[in-house]
This record gives sequence, C-alpha cells and structure tokens, in this order.
Amino acid sequence: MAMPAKQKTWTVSANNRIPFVTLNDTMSKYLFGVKEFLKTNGYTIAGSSNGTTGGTPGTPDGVDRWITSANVTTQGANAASAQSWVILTDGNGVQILLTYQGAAAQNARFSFSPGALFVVAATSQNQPTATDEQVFSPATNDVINSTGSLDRSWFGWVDSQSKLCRFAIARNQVFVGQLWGVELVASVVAGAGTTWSPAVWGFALPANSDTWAGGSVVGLARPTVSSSSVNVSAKWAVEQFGNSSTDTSIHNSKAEMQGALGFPVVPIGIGSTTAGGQGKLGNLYDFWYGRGSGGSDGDVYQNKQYVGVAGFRGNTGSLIWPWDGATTPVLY
Amino acid sequence: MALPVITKTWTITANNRIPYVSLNDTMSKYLFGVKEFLKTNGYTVRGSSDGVTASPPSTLVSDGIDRWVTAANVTTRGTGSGTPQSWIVLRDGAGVDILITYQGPATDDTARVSFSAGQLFTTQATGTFQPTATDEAVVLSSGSGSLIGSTASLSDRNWFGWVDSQSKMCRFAIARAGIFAGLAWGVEHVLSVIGVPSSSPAVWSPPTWGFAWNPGASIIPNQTSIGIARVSVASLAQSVTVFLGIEEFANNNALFSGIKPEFQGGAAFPMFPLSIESNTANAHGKMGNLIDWWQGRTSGGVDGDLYGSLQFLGIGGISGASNGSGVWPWDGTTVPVLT
Repeated sequence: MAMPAKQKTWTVSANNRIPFVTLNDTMSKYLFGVKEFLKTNGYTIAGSSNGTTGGTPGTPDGVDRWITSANVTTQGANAASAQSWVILTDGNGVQILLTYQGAAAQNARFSFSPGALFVVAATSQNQPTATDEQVFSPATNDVINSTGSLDRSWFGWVDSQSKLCRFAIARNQVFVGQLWGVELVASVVAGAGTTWSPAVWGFALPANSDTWAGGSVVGLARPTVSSSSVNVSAKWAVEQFGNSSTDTSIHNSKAEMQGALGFPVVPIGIGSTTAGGQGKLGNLYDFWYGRGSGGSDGDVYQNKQYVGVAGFRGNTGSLIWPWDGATTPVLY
Repeated sequence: MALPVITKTWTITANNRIPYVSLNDTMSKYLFGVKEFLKTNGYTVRGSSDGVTASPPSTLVSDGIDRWVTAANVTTRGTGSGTPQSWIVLRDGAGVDILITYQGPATDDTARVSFSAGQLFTTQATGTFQPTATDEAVVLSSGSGSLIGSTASLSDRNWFGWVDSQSKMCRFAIARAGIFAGLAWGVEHVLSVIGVPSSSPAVWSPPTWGFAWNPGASIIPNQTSIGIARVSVASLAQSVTVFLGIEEFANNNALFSGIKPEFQGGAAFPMFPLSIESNTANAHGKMGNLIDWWQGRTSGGVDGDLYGSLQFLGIGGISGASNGSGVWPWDGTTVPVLT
C-alpha cells in the first residue's frame, strides 16, 4: 500500500544514547534531552526548578534552571516535595510541565495546561499547579523502564510550528516505558458553545501494550461543552476492516488491492466517552496503524520516511510515526 | 451531530403495497415493480424471459425485448439454472448488466440476482433457462434466504426502491408487519480506492459491487460478508467477497451510535460512513467507500425512522440486530409505511 502523505514537517531527534549508570541518571539525561530538544525547536521556557529553587512563587519566571542534566536529578515523592521541573510553552500557547516525581527512579509526571495557567508553588521547587491541568502521564507511570541495566536510546519528534511533540525511548531493541506527547489534533468538535481550542491532547501509552483491544484511555483533553470546560479521557478511533478477524488478516497482508506494495497504513483518530463530553474529538496528525503482526520496533518504510514504533494492538511496530528519511533507528 | 451531505441525487419509490395473495404473486409483483422502476430511471432492458419465451438461445443477451409486460410474466420460478424461469437483464449507467431471475429450489419467496461487469450474459440453449456469464457475480440466491420474507400470514408487503440520477446505483428493500424483511439488496457504484498508487496492477472498472443482507440481522461486528465484486489483480480477474468497514472507537463500533455526542453538537445520533474491504486471497485490502450509506443509532431506533427533514431513513440492522441502525437517503416528503 502506498504510504500516506505526511501532514506536518517534522524534526526528528534519533538514537540519543544514554549509557546506563543508574535509573536516576538515565531519567535525568532523558528529561534534560527532551527539554533541550524542545527548546531548540521553538518551545519556550516558562519556568523551571533544579530541585533547589523554582524561582518566585506565582507566575513562572521564564528561567531555564536545567543547565545540565545534573539539574534534573531531584525526584520528589509527591507534589509537595522538592523536585526538578520545567514548564515549556508550545506553538499553541499550551504549557507543558515535565516534573521528576514518583516513588521510583523510573517514574516521572507529565501534564499540560491548555490555558497556560501553571503557577509556581509557595515552595518553588515543589510541583507547580494549574486549575486546568491535564495529567496525561501520572507519577506512577514507568517512563524509561524499571530494569536497572542496559543503555537506553531516546527519540523525539517536533513539527515545524512547535505545535506537536512526541517521544519514545528504547532499551534492548524495543521501545519501552511510555510513548508520549502533547499535540495539536485536527478537531471535529462542533456545536453551539462546544469548542476545543487549542485542540491539543496529551497522550501516554505503555510501549508494546495493546491499548486497542481493551478500549484503553490513552490521553486527555479539555474541550468546552455548552460553554463549560470539561476534562475528557481520549480513546482510539480507527477504521476497522470487516470483523476483527478479517481486519487482522487484511492488516497482515500487503494489500493486493493497493498494489501489494506494503501493509495497510490507516490513520488514527480519538474520541471521548467521558460523561458530559462524549463523541469524536478529532483526527491525529501523522499517526497511523500499520501491519498487524510480524513487524518490529524500528522498522522503517518507504526510504525511511516512516518508522514502526511500539504496539498499538499488542504487536511491536504496529504504530507508525514519521521518520527522517536518512537515519537508521538504533534501539540500544 | 450535523447530518451528512447526501452525495447523489436519488429517485425513491416508496410504499409500493402488494396485497397478499400468495408468495408467488408477491414475488412476481415485486420483481416486476423493480424492473419497471429501473426501466423508468435509465436502466435499459437487454433481454428477458417470461418463462415461456425468451431472448434467442445461445447468444449474448441483446435482443432488447422486455417480455415482462405485466407481473403475470414474472410468475415462473425455476428450481435451478436449467429450468424455465422468468428472467430479465438490465444495463445500468455504468455499463454493468444486472440479471434478475425468479429461481429457487423449493419455495416461492426466493430469487436470484447477479451482475456481469463485462456485459457477458449469454442465453443457454434453452432461452428460458437462466443466462450465464463468465464474469458473473452472484449478489443473492436462494442460499441467501428469503427475498421477500417467507411468512404468508398478515403478509401484505411494501417495497421501496432507490436509483441515482446517473443510473449507476440502485437499492431495494421490502417491508412486512412494520419492519424491513427478506433481503435488502442493490448493485451500486463505489468510490474506489483500488489501484492507488497508479503503479498498482489492481483494477476495478467499473467500481460496482452487489450486496444483500437480512435487515433483521446484524452485519457489524460479527459479519461474514455482505456483498461481492469483480476485480482484476495482476491481470487475474476474480470475484471477491466484501465486508463492511467503519471507524470504530475504543474497539467498539457502536460506542457513540446510541447517544447524541456532545462533541458533535449533542442534537442527534451520529451517522458514520461505511467502507468495503476484501479479505479474499490474493485480493486483500480496502476497496472503497460506500456512497450515501451510513451506520446510525445502534439502539432505540426502529425501521422507518426519519432524520433531518425526512432526508434520511433508518433501515435494518447494520450493527447488532437493531432495526433502523442502517441509514439510507430519503425523499424529504414521504412517510414510509412498513405495514
């Protein structure tokens, strides 16, 4: 099957190897790398904490205190403890909070504020808060894989308008931890007093977990229904070919109807079943469901224009993201 | 939810009542009515049999004579292809020949519909027997079940027909006792996605499929197949069985179909467009998107529900066995009568 046209222009940061020392070291270097990548690609620093200070309580001061990864080593057990955090503002005007928080070194907490409402706590190195905060990856999530061995390599994607970013991390030849991002969506939300602006969702899904079959929540958004904001959980939407058996069969075949050139690549949307805020939210940009089985994380397609990342239906490589056309992914 | 845009301009014949006399009488009047409706709306008669006389034997069906002058000419049911029967071949606007023949081994409520995309229907040595075509795709037969509903009691029927303004699409349904019964069926043009990219050796021309389903039963999600098409892949022509596709949410095709989603305005049940796919060996893949055919509400509806300003009609079970979960265009004025 012919690959779909990319809708966005992407900058991809690939094969960022982190030699293993400790999980704390890996996490600090990962978060620092993510911050640097976003900052280099149009995201601005709204505020930060190096674990010792986060500036003045109240409105974030715009200072980047993550000078090196050594400034990202302070993990707080919860919101009210000292931790390394950074707030970045994207091209949508949305603030993204990355904070090193959780009970174990592989945990961190990611959220966003669509209204750019993050406020620095009275103890500034504690976790900031926002009244419209969407915690799409809670502090209980294993972000980098809990296994205390082996190098990691992380990958980042940013679009040219700084309105979409997504990240993945690999260990031992497969993606692990969380696939996550904060991205603009092609919204289909409509109705009197019903809006979604900016149409941004945050997502986090465990790599190589079947988030389709069980109807899992994979992200969060905050649209407006009848002029009131509502926090909603997002689930996948994808065109199914016939019944589940025929769908699997077709996705496992290089579709002859499309020239037997490759496996079907189907765009993905999202919808919400949250009471008071139900329905289709929109279509994701450059986010597809690929082959049903037999793929591997890091598979590249069509002159390395696309890459298979972790499981959408429990099969490695079944989720397809854009790739840079040049690099061979290395999943250390 | 905002109503979808109706893509085609449809002529709809509604509430064609057939007072019950016998299943043979009902079938003859139904098939005769279908023929008349198609003929009136741009389909041309290529040849026919009234069960006694027929187009010349052993030739391409092309004499152009309509021997179905009244319903009485459509009463001869053949028990198989090699027995006299009432049949007619009509050509649609896409150049596809459609064979409608009164055939079934045992009971008067079955018939057979097929099409030849290559215009290849040929009469047998006995002209009144069922014509054949090397590229024939059988849409429905006695094995598909009763075309008109087998029940004899309380058995007036109302049939309904749809034809688009280019005569490339037709669909039919028949109702009894308040619901659609028998088989809903049609032979229609599709928005093909076959042969993309241009280097693909897959060809579907014209992109026509035939379908038939029991509107009282579910198609999605546990469907077997609903239709048939004739495609060429790598120069090998073959018939493929066809399944319905639909955008599913969280692994559930009916997740939003029983509610009025706030994110689509909260005013109406969603109508989701449908696609078709093939899982036939050596011909896998998505085939196209159906035109003016949607999945509507999946619970709480009934056959004959109208939406918008009488522009959409709920028909049969697309998802689950919920009547009215399929949605077809309607004419904007008529109240459907299903009793």
